[in-house]
Amino acid sequence: MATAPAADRGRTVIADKVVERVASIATSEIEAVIDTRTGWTKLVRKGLPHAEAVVAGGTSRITVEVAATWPTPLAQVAAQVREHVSRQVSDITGVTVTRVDVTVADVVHLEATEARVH
Amino acid sequence: MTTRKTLLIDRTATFLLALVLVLGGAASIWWWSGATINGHQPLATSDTSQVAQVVDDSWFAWVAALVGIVLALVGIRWIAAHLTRSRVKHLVLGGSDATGRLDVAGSKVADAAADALATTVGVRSARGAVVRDRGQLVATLSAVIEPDADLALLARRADEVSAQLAGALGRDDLHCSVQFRVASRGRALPRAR
Repeated sequence: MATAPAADRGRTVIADKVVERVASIATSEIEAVIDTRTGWTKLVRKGLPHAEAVVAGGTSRITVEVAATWPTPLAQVAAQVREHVSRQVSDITGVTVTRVDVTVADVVHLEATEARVH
Repeated sequence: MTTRKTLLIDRTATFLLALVLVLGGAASIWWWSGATINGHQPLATSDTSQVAQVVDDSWFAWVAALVGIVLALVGIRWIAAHLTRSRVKHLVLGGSDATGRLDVAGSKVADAAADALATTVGVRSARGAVVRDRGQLVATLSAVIEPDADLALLARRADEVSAQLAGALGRDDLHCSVQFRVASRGRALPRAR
């Protein structure tokens, strides 16, 4: 039985939320990026990393907010996030990424944070 | 933090005020002495009829009110110029291009630097901010230290943290200012019973 042409088999739509989720996961894969979501915030996806995307016509524009560890070269970390997010979103969703804006919204000194916790 | 413009206005106003005080003082001494200088004598102040005539004119009240409003507005604006802290919310990082902007929250990176400084023995607390001061980008770290803190150690740590901050931001135009304030009294530690 011959397969119908791709155009006749249906249309694939990638939602903004899917791109945001992929971008968020890709962001947290960078070594110097930390996840500030704990407890309840994990359930409602508040905290960092946080991604927002607009998908239109097979292309997307993504904004990412991350928390980085101190002391790390922030420009390097932000550039790594931008490249990795762009690649992962393209590979996984097939959506072309036109732009990724990265904001380091928090910088965490881990020693100081641990000292406050204990 | 003041801007260059505010600082210039402050200095000009201070100079003019000082000039008025010096000239006023000299004029008062001249008036009191009644001395003749180069054939000139101080004005007689017993006759105030001319002043009374001007004050009685119908336009004087309106002009006085308008001048008062203008002076009040200038005063408020001047005070406001000293109260506003020109904090930098976002710092653009190197590598920003058409593929995406890279930036960092100024207050957060300064807070992290302050946290690093606060882990030093002898530092009670520290806070940080990134501000625009007289056209310069300055990261200010303010720490409260114990009265018996080792100043040589603190100076070394201040240099280390400043270098870390410069490395983290990677901006040549950033200056770092670290200020230590000695706590008025030693911290009361809990006693073991």
